[in-house]
Amino acid sequence: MPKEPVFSFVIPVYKKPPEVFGRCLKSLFDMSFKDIEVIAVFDGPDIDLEKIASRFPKVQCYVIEHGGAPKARNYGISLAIGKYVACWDADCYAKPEMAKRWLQEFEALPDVDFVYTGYEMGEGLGTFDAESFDAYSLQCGNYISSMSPIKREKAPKWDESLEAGQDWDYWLTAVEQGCKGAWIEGPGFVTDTPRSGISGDKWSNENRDNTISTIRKKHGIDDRHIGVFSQSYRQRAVHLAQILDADVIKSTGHTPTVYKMIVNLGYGFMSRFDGISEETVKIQYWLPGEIAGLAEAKYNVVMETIRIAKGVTNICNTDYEKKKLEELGITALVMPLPLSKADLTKVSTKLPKEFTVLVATDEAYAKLLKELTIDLPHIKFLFNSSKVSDFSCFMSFYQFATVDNAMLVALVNGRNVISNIQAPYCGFIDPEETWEKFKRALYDKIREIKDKPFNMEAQAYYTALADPDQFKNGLLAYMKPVLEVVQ
Amino acid sequence: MTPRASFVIPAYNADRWISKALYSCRNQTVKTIEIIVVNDGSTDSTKDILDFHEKEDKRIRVYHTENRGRSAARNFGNEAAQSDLILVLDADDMAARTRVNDTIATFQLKKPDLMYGSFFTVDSMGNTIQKIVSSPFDPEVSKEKKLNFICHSTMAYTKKLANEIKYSEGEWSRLGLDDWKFQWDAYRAGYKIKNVRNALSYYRLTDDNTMATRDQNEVNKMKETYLVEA
Repeated sequence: MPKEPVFSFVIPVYKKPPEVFGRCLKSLFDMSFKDIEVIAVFDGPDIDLEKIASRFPKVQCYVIEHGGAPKARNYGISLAIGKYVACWDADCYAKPEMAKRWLQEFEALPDVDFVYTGYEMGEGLGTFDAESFDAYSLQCGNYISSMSPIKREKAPKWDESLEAGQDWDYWLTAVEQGCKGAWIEGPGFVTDTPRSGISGDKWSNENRDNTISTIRKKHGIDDRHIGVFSQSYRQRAVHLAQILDADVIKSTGHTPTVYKMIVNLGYGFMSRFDGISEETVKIQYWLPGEIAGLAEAKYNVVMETIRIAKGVTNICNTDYEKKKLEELGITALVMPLPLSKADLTKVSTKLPKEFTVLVATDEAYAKLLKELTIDLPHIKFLFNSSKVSDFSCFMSFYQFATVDNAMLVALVNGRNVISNIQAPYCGFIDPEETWEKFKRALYDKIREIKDKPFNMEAQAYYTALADPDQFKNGLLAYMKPVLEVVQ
Repeated sequence: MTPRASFVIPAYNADRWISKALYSCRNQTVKTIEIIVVNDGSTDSTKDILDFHEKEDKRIRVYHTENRGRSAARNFGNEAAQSDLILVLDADDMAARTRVNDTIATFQLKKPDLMYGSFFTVDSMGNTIQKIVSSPFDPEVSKEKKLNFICHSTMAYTKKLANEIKYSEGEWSRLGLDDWKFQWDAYRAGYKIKNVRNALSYYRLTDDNTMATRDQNEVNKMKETYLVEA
């Protein structure tokens, strides 16, 4: 009985150029990490390709009756004895350090069941980056390559009945069975024929929406009416999509035209709205700080952005941003971004033993606020932490200040807030004053808060404001007229 | 072991600056010193900051008194000093790192009773504005200009001098003239005054301290009366 290897590579082989298959096998054995086994499953006999495989004595070859890649993969997995199993494509080339990076990640995160990387597309077609693991985002479209390793005992069966999107189905099944994934940044391999990856042969545009609906139906995921898109804020788009019970729009998901409402988070890529039909409700959500950034953009970018914005519904976080948009000729509604249900229910009323101030700031204020640690040595200041239970007071000074997610979390957890924002319960300190007056006001505020660390009024106010249902209903109100037309 | 020098710092509502002043004393190249802080009934966070430093550094002694004005606090601190050499520092200023070293050296070489030196002016953020170079005390010029050209936060004097010369309270203290009068009183009592060209301190220019807000007419009247009486 051979010692079980760390990784098993299962390669279904069917009609590939021999030199491509040869290069593929070579890339696996050339990796710096050597403790692997390679199982080639020939999806129907192929003398040329079998000859190639025979050049690599370590490759285990099996020939089965032709029945498609999923069937060949299942056959190969049933023979694999490695700790982790990865289904490999015969036309993909591993990077030398790939397996080593996989193992490092598995060892660093023991509760993770599968890991994945992005990949380079051959012919200079660029890179597919993947994204950090999120089960909800996976329901909206795949971002996990079929060639990613998973703990062998957790590997699901490949669905042999599906015509396309089997890889997505595979990972959806794994996650439904309780598996957790982890993203390793940077490409792990190169594909020879770019169309064979996540966007496979049968993944054409006409079939795309049908395929997605079929697979989602299998997994009990209803089609959704709202699509959320963001070019630069993917994580926040996922967060917002969950609140709205919406899809995240991505290249591997539904085409944007299927949605009744599209929300674009952040002004990047607003041209997305241009091809969308009249009936679709178009919402542009302006993120805090962005409007100031727009003012510094190139003239034609600004004009183009304003032109598109005038044709859609614009929403922003605070009155301050609304005013800024008005200066650009854009009428906007104020609808603060909500928190998720989880953020609102996981409230931590327990304050740290010692009065602790969390300082969130940017370059504009960092130097000044670092002085706090020298001036007020009796107070504990943190400059980065994400846990609410770590701090009793939240201090936020940004050049383009707004009530952001972190501040909202602090407020709904009853933390006192000190900031340069004129919003309710946000302990406004005017940074335009002289430094000594600013310091006077700031130090007085800190002293005042030190004695009454929990702010119940702020908590009540912002818990209501950050209510995800209220936000959702507010947005849905815009969709209603469209639904009536449809009916 | 008796400390070689004593810093005496009066502090009244100085939470914005006192910590930096204390760090400047604690970081002196000469370590065998004591640091006396008189908290003159502050109502801001000064007490908390002083408690922190006192706990961290055994060379620091803090006295909390009710609010009696800066002269009383200075006299109180001078009496509490255990060494023969008293270094003055106001709560919003900072001592240069070698100030104790330079002061002790000057007392050994020139044997003065009171000395002072050059200094840097700094703004409220601690940025250096310029260096002001000290010149010898000239009673004639000082009398005519009604200015002594002595930066209080660079001054050092013997315990013996401090036992005799006190900072005047009342109007002198309120108008921030106690240090000006102290210098003249010491001179008139026959004490030897010397200056050094080394920069000994960082003197903070702020908008809301006594020097900036006091009534200049009142100040001149007080000074004139004192100088004529002599």
